[in-house]
This record gives sequence, structure tokens and C-alpha cells, in this order.
Amino acid sequence: MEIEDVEEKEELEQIETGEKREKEGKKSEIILYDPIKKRIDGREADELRSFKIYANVLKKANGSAYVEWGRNKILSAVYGPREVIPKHLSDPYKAIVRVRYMMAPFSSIEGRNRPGPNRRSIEISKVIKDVFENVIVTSKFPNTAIDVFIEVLEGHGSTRCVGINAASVALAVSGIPMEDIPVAVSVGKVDGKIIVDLIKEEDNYGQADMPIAIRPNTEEILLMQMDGKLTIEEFKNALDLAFEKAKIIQKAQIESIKSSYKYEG
Amino acid sequence: MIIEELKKDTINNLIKNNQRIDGRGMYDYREIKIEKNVLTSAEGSAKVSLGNTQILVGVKVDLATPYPEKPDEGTLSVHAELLPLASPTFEIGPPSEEAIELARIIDRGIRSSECIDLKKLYIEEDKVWSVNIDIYVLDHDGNMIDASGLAAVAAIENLKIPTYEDGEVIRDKYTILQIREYPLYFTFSKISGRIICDPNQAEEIASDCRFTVCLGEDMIYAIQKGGRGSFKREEIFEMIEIGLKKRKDFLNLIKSV
Amino acid sequence: MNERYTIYVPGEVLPKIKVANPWVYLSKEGYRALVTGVYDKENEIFIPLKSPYIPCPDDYVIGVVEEERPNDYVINIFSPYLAFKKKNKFELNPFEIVYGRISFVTEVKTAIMEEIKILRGGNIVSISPSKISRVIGKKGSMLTLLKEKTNCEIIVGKNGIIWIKGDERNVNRATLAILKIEKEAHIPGLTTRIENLLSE
Repeated sequence: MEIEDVEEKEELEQIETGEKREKEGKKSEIILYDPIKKRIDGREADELRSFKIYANVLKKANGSAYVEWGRNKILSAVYGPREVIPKHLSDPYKAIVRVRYMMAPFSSIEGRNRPGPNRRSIEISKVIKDVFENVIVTSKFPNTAIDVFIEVLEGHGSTRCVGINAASVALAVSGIPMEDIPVAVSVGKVDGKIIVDLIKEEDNYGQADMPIAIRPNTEEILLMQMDGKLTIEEFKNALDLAFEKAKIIQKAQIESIKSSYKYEG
Repeated sequence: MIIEELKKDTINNLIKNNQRIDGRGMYDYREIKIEKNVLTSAEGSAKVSLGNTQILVGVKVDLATPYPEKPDEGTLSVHAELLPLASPTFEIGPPSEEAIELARIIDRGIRSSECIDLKKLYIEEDKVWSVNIDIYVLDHDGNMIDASGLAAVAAIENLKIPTYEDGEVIRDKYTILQIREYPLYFTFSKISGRIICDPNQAEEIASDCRFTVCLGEDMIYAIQKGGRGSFKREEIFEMIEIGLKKRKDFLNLIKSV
Repeated sequence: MNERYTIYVPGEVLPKIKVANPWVYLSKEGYRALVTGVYDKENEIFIPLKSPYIPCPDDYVIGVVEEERPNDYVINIFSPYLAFKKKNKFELNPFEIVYGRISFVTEVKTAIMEEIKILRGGNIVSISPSKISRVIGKKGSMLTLLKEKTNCEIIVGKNGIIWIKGDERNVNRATLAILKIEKEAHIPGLTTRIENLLSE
């Protein structure tokens, strides 16, 4: 995964700074939280968007899952353990975990994204890899690769969290040993209010955005990123909210796995 | 794909008796399911499953400058991704020759048929709409061409063209551009000298060559022959005839969704 | 309701299990599942619904010859790991299907095979290795049922690969039955359903 040339790199950086300027401009116009109307999509501060998880949706992959989360539509699939190509990447003591998070060209409600990896998707792939490397028992499969694919078919805020939730389920049904099923959720702040599960507009125009992934049984944090301004008190509250909502998501993940194996007469 | 490779002998033996490994008739297609408007972020979208092959097509309509030789027309592009999650044989990296061929075949049929009136995509001087069709292969069990073509046509059937106002693109205000023609794709494989429709992945591996034709009601819009085997002229006429017959069913199917 | 078999997902604490296996791990609260699998109350055992094959000495497996090298053959045993067979007077060719015993597994999990038999003709089906014992059945009863009802030669490898030889229609029937066993092994009444399927 390499960015092909300097020109492209500069173009992308311009887009990123351009987006930032756009964000600054629009911030003053949009009201993201109002005590009566609540959030821009009508949700309460501590309310998750409605979501559905489907396990085992693809035939070729070892494990797969598809999640619809608000307007997000994310497909995840797992291959492995399998031979490492190119060979020089293999580790004689454990399996290597590779994650590819990608946004489809048609996934944005704005313009078309250029296909292929960019700096943002590469960073997201990296932090997601850290999540799964923690729970997968890689020592059981030296000299192999475990490939996790997360394809954002339609993105509408918190895609890395939804992507992790999908990939967790795909891994859980793939037969690859893992000690726990990671759960991810985003928390943040808009108009002074701590909220959970940020929609795209809240992510772009809000005051803080913090995606978190945890290992539910031990409550350990496997992913944490933050962008914005939070006081220590606000941070603590946001974290509590994340853990509280993670329980709901975990239940749904487990249910989606078990129900995909139910027998229908 | 070693298990598929090993099926070659069985497939060849069955074909010599006009039988196929999954029990289909020589000219039977697998079950087709079409879903339209599956993505709210795209100006057009559709998902097609053809047997176990699953394809998603998303279409984005963006502001663009026209080609210098066609200043009053919008632009069209087709791109395909053989996602690595769709098959253990698809590698991570830039588009392979297979992905590029797929995109170009679909591009030719859509462009030649003029099913999208590119003149309607003209906005003002030096500004036009570009229609960008992205084919996402999600699950590969053979015949990605026909499935992609069907999904692409279903996705552009009722394309949402945004509004351009005061220098801004407003996507939630749109007009629908209806498709003017249905360019539909029919792919055949030659195995042990016999011709079959809609090869699955194992059959693709066993085949000597393939023939794809993109058809309108009484018109051929595109042709692509692939593979190192060869076809006789009579075989080509036969395949086109079969395609024209099948086209009626496909058209009904796509219109009924 | 199905009480003998219950599905558990990775991380969940399992009821009492008689024998630890590679698909569970020990925690403070007891054994937890490492993969999605089925807990069999009757035998107090946890079986994965799906698992990759890790070569193990004394396993009899089915593989496909991939490559000839100066001193040995590379055999694909449908595992993340390869198997090798030292050359002797018997010649093997690429794409031949072979059945043999794993005599030794190296530190890097490469398998060494011996007692190779070539399986000529026939087709192979791949299922999860964890379901092989169900295809064999108690005292071989399921395998006998499959062979009798389809008139096919069937050989089962511990690595999840099954070789079937017979006329095309019967091979198809046997394949469908085997895939059904893989899918429904944890749902009671399987033997009856397979009998019904094969009687059609």
C-alpha cells in the first residue's frame, strides 16, 4: 500500500486542509445539540443509532460480516491463517495480522473518493490492526498471515468503530482463535454536551471526537484516539458512556453470531 | 484454487455429455437477484447476486470539466475493484489486468449504447457532470462480467443528477436522468469444444476461452473475447442468438425490481 | 428445543469440559472459547464450528501434490502449513491426490508425510476439520451410511478433506450430504435427515 506519487500526496493534503477550513466556517452555523430537539438526527446524547449485524454473508472468505449502522454500510471479511506473501514479511514465532480499511469511491454523500489507500485509511488500518493483534492468539500460527478487510460501502460517521464491530464478528466466525470479541464505539462532545456514536456532521463540526475499542471481558482499552478539546472531567464521563454502550453492542454482536447458526426447519 | 483446478476433469467429462457440474442446463443462468438503490450516499447504486457471485455498483455524479473535443457533453468513467475479500486469488494492490479488463468491457457497452444521454449532463461553459461508475466485486464465483454489467445498468437506470447553484453542488436537490437503453451482457465459455452460458468459477478455470457480447434489442454494443482458445464464426453467431433470446428475460427481471 | 448442543462465541465461559483442546483457553472464571463452536453437554466437549487444520503426528490426511523438488515433493494439505514427502522409488506427479500419514511435525509446523497412497480418479471436498468425526460417525456408522447409499468410495482425511469416487450423480449426492453434515452437525436428528436426503 503506497501512495503513488508526490502530486497525489499534495492533492490529498490540500483536500485535508480544505476540509478543515470548511469545518471552521460551518461550525458557527450548525446547532448540533439543543435541549428540545436533541441531536441533529433527533437522538438523545447517550443514544446509539439503530444497527443490524449479519454474520457469514460471503462464501469465499473464511469469515465475514455486514453491518448497517445508521446510514453506515460496512462489509468485513477475514482470510487466514494463510501463507504469507511476500515471504519476507512472515514471522517465525507468530501469525502476522494485516488490516485493510478502505472507503469505497461511492461511500461519501459528497463527491467520489479516489479508489485506493490514502493517509487516513492507512492510519486507520494501523490502529485497527493493534486491536486485533491483541485478542487473536497469533502464537498458534507462526509463519502465517491473518488478513482482515474492512470495506466502507457507505460511510456516515464513526466508520472505524463500526468497521471494528463488523471485523470482530467476521473474525469470530472464521475459526481463527481469539480470546475476546472487541467492541468499538465513538464518544465526543457537541455544543458542550457529551455524546455517543457520532454521526458524520457531529464528527466534522463538533468539539471533540474520540473513537474507542475495548476488550469486553477485561474492560481493557485496545484503541483510543482523540481529536478536539475535552476537560479531564468530560473525558471521564465520555469514557464511562463508552463502556456503558459497549455492553449493548457486545450483546448484539454475540446474538448475530449465534443466530446465523440457527436451524430453520 | 486447487480444489477448483481438480474439478477440471469432472467438468470436462460432464460437458461432453451436455451436463454441468451444478446440474444446470448448458444455456442456463444461475439464480439472479437484483436490488436497486442500496446506497444512500451514491447517486445510483445496485447490488446483483448471480449464483454465489455478488457485485455492488455505486455511481457518483460529480462536477467536472468536459473533454476538449466534446465540450457540450458530460463525462463517463467505469472503474472496477476485485476486492481482496472477494476471493483468495485477488491480491491487495493496484488494479490487476483482470480488474482493468472488466471495467473496460462494461465501459464499452455503456458508452456505445449511449444509454446515458451525456448531452443532458452539460451545465454551462466548461462545467459538466461526470458519471463515475465503480464496480465492487464482493464475492467471486465466476462470471463477474455479466453480473457487473447488470448491476451497472440497474444503478444508472434512474440516475440522480444534482443541482448546480451559485457555484455549489447541491445533492439533495436532484433531477432523475432515465436510462435510454439497456445494454445487457452475456458471457459464454468454451469447454471441451462445447459452449455454455454463465460459467461459475470452477468452469471458468476449466474453460479454453470466453466470449462476451453486450446487446441492445437489435444491436450489438460491445464484444470481448478472452482466453487462449478460439471460436468459429458459426459459434459466434450462435452465441449472439442465445444472448438475444436471454435478453428478454433479463430485461423483464431488471424492470420488475 | 435443542439442549444437548449450545453455541458459544470467543471469550464466553464454557460449562465443564472433560478435555482441554486448542480451541479453549483457561481464565480465572474457567475455560473460555477461542472460536465460535458447539458445546456438547453429553460428552462435555467443545468443538469448533470451523477451524483451520494444524498438522499433527499420526493424523491421516488427504493432500494434493503441488511441486516436485530435488529431494522431496511439496504436498498441499489444505492447511496454512505445507507437507513434504521424501522421494523414494514411487513417483508422484503434480495434481495427484494422495492419502498418507503425518509422521512428524517440525517446530515451524511443517508436516512430514509417509505411507503415501495415490487416490486415482475421484473428487475432493473440503470441510472444516472439526466436522470430520461427525462425517465418520459413531463407530463409522455415518461413513458407512454414505458409502452404501451412494455406492461411492469415500476416504476421509483428518485435515477436513474427503475423497469421493463414483459416477457423477452419486458423487454429487454424497457431496451434498457431506456439506449438510458440516452445516448441521450441531442440530439433533442429523442422521435421520441424512438418511432422508440420500433416500430421495
